[in-house]
Amino acid sequence: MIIKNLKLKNFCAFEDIDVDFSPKINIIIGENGTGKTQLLKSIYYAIIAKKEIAIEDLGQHLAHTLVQLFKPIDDKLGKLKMTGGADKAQITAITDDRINGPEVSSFSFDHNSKFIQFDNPKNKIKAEEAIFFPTKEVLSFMRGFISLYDKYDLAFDSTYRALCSLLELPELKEDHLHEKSKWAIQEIEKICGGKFLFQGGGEVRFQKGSTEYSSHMIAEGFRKAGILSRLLKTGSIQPGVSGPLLWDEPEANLNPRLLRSFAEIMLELSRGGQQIIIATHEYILLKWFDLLEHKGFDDEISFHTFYRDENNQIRVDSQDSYCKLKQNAISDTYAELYDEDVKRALGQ
Amino acid sequence: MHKFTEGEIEISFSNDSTFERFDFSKEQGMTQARGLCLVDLLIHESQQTFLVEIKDPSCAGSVNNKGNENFEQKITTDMLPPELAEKARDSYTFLHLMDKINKPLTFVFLLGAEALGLKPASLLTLKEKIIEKIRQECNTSWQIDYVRDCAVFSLETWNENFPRYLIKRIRK
Repeated sequence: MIIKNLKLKNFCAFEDIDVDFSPKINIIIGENGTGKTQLLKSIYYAIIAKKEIAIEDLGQHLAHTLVQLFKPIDDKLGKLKMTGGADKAQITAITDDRINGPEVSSFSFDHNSKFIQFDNPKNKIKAEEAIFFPTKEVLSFMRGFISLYDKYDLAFDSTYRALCSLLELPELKEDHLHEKSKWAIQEIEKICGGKFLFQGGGEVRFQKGSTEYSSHMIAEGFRKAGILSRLLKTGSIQPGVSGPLLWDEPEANLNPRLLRSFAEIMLELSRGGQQIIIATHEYILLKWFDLLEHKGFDDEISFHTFYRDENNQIRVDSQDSYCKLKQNAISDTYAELYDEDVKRALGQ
Repeated sequence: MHKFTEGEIEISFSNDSTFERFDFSKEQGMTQARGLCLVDLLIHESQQTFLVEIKDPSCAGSVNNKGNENFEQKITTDMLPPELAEKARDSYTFLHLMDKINKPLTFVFLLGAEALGLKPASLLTLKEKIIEKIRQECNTSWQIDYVRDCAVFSLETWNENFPRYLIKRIRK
């Protein structure tokens, strides 16, 4: 399953945007407050919601899922509608399961709605998951988290629970693993200098040689790599089969030196057919994708810049090359830094 | 108006500007102290002197001669900063021995690399590498900061920062 296109109208910060996605790598950039995380969550919702269309009281269930994902004020669905928008809030996604071809799903609601209207209820239920990596890693607080989440009203949105749940799945048999997954797992173990052991119940340890350590003792960047490795081992991420991998700020708390390895791993997975959509603030990660893209491997990287226009509305500039980006907040920041540095060097 | 040309790069100086071609090994009939590598150009201002080194992998001759590839290799293998540090150090040495240093020196690297499409972040990173090498070429750092700072410019950013010494590319 891949996402081909997403339209958002009067939803959250978006008045009206329309984004086409590459089937391989997509990089979302933009200043804070331009809706990068909201876009990732909207994609995630459009895919996981499709799994739930057979449930009775569908509209209410879809509303609950959306609220748990976005955590609006007072858990009110209507708060997710853009303020002042005349029409209903609408999420429209075109997905492709790579067997039956493109499929359109549309979800809409108004400011006083209690449930969501799903506009294509005859769609078949698909089993694929989208995988959402939130900004914070989860290995350090995974023990008991699912039970706590299900019992108490926690501040975490539902992506944390979903990720923990995927991490608890058993490992696939080795011969069921995609070759790219095997390679990526080995690379991650090389980067971390060991491997994470999942003991069940959210208990995670790190093994280096014959010694085991608490996951708390391991750098957060390595814990993020450990999550990716585990999802590959369980087949939650299976290039060519699994739904899109949505990763919000992979660079958070990561040593910049590791970013090249992360970019290489993601590119390799995409070459095996894994769709990856990343939101980032990090120039180094962005630049590594630009430098490591290899047209000979049919790499397809789309760069999507989110920015606010003169009317303060969010717009998207999508390009197939980093150099073509007209709006680039990350690069602009470096340009500002460069200008200041030049001024100092010239004694101005 | 005076012109300074280095390959395809032409810098225009107003009549009241003070500059001199410094790497006179390229001048016919001029001799150079053995082993000394000097920067291409000196620009004297009231508060400081700029030591300007020009590399132009985007010039037509370089492109035909795989200059871009060679230059990219120099950048990626970190060969460039030591080469530039050597020029900065030798230029300082020469000026010192000639008793011509009477104001701070600033090292300026002008990179004619339009074809490489380098962004400010890359120029900034290159600057950091060059100044690091200028400060320390062997086991210990030089005890004197003989150049006060360094700046790296593309043709575009040069013109933004030196509107008084405008550059243009002249195809020969």
